[in-house]
Amino acid sequence: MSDLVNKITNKIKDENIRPKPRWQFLLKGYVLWVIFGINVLLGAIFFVVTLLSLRDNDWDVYKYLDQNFLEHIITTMPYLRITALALFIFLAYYNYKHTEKGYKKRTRWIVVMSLVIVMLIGGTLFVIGAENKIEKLLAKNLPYYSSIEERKIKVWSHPKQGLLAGKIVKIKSAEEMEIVDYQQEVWEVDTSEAEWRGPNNYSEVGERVKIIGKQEEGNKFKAQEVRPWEGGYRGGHRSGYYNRFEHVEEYNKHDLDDDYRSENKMKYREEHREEYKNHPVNNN
Amino acid sequence: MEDCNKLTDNELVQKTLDNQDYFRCLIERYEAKLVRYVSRITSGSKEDIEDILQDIFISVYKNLNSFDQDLKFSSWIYRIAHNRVISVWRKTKNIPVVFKNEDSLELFNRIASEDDLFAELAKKDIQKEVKIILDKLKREYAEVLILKFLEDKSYTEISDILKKPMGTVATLINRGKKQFKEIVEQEQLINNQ
Repeated sequence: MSDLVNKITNKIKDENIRPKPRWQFLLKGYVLWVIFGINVLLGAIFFVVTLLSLRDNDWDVYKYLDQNFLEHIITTMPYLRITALALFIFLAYYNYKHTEKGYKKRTRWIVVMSLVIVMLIGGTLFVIGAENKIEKLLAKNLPYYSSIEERKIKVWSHPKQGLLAGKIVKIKSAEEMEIVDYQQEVWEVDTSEAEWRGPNNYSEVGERVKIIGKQEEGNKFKAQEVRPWEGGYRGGHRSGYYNRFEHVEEYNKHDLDDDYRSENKMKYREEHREEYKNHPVNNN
Repeated sequence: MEDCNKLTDNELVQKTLDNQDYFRCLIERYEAKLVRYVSRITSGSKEDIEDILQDIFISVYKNLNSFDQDLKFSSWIYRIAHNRVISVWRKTKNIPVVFKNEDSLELFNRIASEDDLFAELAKKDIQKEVKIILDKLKREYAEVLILKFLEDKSYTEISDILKKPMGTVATLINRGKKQFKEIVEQEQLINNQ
């Protein structure tokens, strides 16, 4: 092999072989890290919407849908989101593994680390309240994406089985309101014996609600429980004042006038803050 | 040109990037080691081995700017050699690890010096069968055993050469030894003694 040295050096000279420039290797390294970052970010996004899906799932309504709890879990699990989350964790692992020193770490360490970063970023997005915006963005831009909203509408559009949802369009009295459901049907809802879920015992025209109860003749519905549309069993985070008593007429005049309501909402609230707080309904 | 013998590997790399002629020094320094290593992890004629060596050094030269000084140069060049042999093996699909007699005995004795069960086996005079047994080992086990016991590489170096975590290297060495013992039992070599 003593002439191997000459063979190699002659070949390098004859073929004008040159070392590849350093920037090519640096660029490859940076690209891998950027792709790793993108995968982690996408993983975090799907982590957020998975959390949202689990939070907003009404785990207790299976009884009204002729399902047992296990069936309800199986039919409402956010499979697409969980699969996408797993995919991006895997891609993040794959990218990391191919970085310069990625081989030094064991698979489980890389997967766990990626998952922790995804959960930290996703958790932060969730805590700052970005989950709904992200969900809407995905629903708008991803083909075949089945939004949480669509799923909830499906679950809560079973009035014969006691599940009704829609937008409040009129507050007739302290115990009666009118809603339009997602099939554009108008319902008269008796709330005289209803339990109100959520942090505040209130409703406003324009708000969307979920109602458990019983369909009576025609489009009348007797409510046992009213929940805010956002959020799951315990109800979402909301603020506001109960306004069904004193300003029903005022509100009903403008019940579909968003500009009026938004302009005057804060004014009414401030003027009647004490009344709302002290009203018997709010203190039960 | 400076006297190459006084230069470290890293210094030679830098010199080569400035002046192509220094590459001869790197080739001379690693030629014998890589010939021996490549011969151990592949079978083939002298000409085949020489062709592979040529490819290895050309690849080393082309990729000199990717050499990370945090790594030992020997680990890096062994990595290139290993990868080159694997890619040749993938194309031809017929280059298993075939141990030479002297290598198989040396490997066996080196393992026996640190493993009690192997030491027991060594007493039972199965040296003649050692080569047969080692030739039956899974390739990934044979590779790490060669690097550890014949090339005298540390766990860190083997990790850098094969681009596997150190824990995995240790696992592969243990599994290699375990498979060796299983083959001995399957071949009933102990019972026949």
